[in-house]
Amino acid sequence: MKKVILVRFSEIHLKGNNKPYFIKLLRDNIKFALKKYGLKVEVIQNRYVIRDFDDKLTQNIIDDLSKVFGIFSISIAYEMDSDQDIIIDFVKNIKINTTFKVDCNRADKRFLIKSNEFSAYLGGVILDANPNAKVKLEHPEKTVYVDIRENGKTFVYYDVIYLAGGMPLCETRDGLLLLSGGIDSPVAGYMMAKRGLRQDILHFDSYPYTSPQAKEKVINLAKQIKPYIGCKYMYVVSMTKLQEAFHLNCREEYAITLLRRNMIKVAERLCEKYRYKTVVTGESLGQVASQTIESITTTDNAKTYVPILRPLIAFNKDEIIDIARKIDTYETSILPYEDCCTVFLPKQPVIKPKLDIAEAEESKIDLDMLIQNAIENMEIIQI
Amino acid sequence: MNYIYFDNASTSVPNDRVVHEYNERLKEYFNPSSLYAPSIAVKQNIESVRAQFLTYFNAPKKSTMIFTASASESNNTVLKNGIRRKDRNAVITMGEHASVYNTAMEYKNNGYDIRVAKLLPNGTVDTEHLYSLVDENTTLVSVIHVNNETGAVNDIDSISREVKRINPKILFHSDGVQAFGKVKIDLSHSPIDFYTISAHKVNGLRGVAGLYVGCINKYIPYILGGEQENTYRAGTENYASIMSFGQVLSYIDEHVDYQKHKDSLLIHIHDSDYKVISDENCVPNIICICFRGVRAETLQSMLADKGYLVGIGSACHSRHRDNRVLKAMHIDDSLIEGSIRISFDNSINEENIIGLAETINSAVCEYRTKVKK
Repeated sequence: MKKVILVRFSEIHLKGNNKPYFIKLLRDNIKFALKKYGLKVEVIQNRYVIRDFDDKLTQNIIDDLSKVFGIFSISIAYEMDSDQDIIIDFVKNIKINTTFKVDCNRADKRFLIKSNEFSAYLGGVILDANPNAKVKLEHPEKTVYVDIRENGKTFVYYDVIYLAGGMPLCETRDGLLLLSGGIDSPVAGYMMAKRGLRQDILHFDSYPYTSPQAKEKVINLAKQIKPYIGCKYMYVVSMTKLQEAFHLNCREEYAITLLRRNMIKVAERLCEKYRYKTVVTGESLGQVASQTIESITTTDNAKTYVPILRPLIAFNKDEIIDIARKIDTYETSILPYEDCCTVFLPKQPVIKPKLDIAEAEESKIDLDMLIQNAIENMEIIQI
Repeated sequence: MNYIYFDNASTSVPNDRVVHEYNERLKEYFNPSSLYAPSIAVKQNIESVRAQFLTYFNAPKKSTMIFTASASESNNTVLKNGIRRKDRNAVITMGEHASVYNTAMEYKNNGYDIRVAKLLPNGTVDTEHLYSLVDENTTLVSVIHVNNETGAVNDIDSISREVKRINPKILFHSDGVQAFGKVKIDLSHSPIDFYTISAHKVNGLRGVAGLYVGCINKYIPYILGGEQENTYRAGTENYASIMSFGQVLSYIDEHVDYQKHKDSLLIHIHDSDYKVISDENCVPNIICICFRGVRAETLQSMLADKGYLVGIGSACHSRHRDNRVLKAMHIDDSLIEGSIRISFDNSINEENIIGLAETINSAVCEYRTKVKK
């Protein structure tokens, strides 16, 4: 009898011909997440089994698995041969002092006793061994699951721990996440990773108008979301020269509109250069002046082809904060270092910017050269 | 990049003698509390350093110097000694270092009566206000000797005398971290009960500091446990650091003419809108200057890129942009935002000063051209 971790996937069972691909992908992701423990991940019918782990590290392993998308739930289970006597022997030794039920699932039809009958029989065995136990079929305090699999093995477990769900992260880094250092953008990266999008990070800084600590903070955030989004690189592009140019030459109320448009332009150029397929941002409709539908439209028009994904567009701030707390980025995000946007903050930023005005303002500056320089001088940090 | 260091009030470059002493003393690894001969020798060495400090301060009998791990620990120890009953009160000033101010505020949050004396526009404590807060129920008064942000010097000798005249039972503490070696103090006939000093602000090492205790009979330890430091502070003695702290006394009173450096710096700084906070009553090695409308963090980074390291506000809490001490001096927010602190040690020369002033001038000018008000 062995203690194992039983891992169930989500959504993959909906796949048709691609199912084997996704099963292998998720197995590789699980193996990568558990690399430091040197564990094997075996695939059995619609389940993964993790064996031979150190009992003391169980909680650490669960924490690491909770960062792997595509896992629906896990259980700490006891694995045994699908032999009636062995199962009964094991069940005899279960200590129960509360209400309970036994829930058998017989995937292996070679096992001759039907699920219902075997559940009832095992229930009797438990009752005999535990005088204080009481059977209750609806909402019992404890459920003993007996999962008889096709491979001749049976798993007995008591709890199902639900994890992140979603789709397994793809092997290729397809997305470029714009990470500002605020609360929203790490959550946006997390949300897209939940749908399988592996991302690298683009951060804009405005040194010396922002402090070196502001960049350190973003590096820390990147490290925190790495287990989720699978990032390898963080590109740091300085927007200082562009911001100075906007500040001196353009209408003050358009400063942020212009900055955001040009962040998107930089992002699109990096997508071209490094073959990213999409840009991810943490915008949420109406949250601030630069996130009204007019602002988002004006920003969106700065790019030519690359799709911009805004997973938080319909989220309330408190919903975003809840997720930020869940993924442990909130405390870092609220550290009081200025990020890129707040330096040349206009007193009254335009709430409904117009595309033609934004373009006219941009035409006052040799933007192409400034963007080119910014990208040439960009710093690439390995996360 | 080679940096020229103008942030000595936050921490300073360890002196060669100090480092040498530390390295040598590391070899004498014996626990001073043990009873074999090498331990007894080590214990005697600590006692001789303690005696050197007491001699330096001309300290009276019954007083002692307790070696601690930091000035913050020393200050916390004082507050624990002085704030013991909720029906009594303690008086501090707005100019205290965070290790006194924030600790006192923590007591206040727990229901203790903590009174805070205002500052005058020159950064010293408003003594009239301070005396008005002191009464027969006051148990502790803490007045910083030299403020760490402005260099403002409080006349702690006369303040302590007046406080004791109002209520002789009061324990009087002064945080002398920035004053140590800069403002001479004689404790022989002083009513000061506690005086805090630190090694790393005077070219010593971090991790060792001192607390002068005037009357050891009344003292209660802050860190409890073993009987180290003659039962006054538990924890195995940081022998090598304490010995290196002793070396500080060999050079602390030799300094270059800081006043000349300060004058030279101020002559060479030109800007359209700035204010020098540190006036002629301040110690000359700390100079606080505010450039209106300029963000200090940005200026600090611009200067660092040119090889000059200066402080902004107080380095211990540079994450917060508002500055309690400057605010208490009624300085405008637009000036506070642009406040930098320049602090010297002996290694600075005239050429460095002029280089710094010119770099500040061009950085501030660049800032003002690039950032419209």
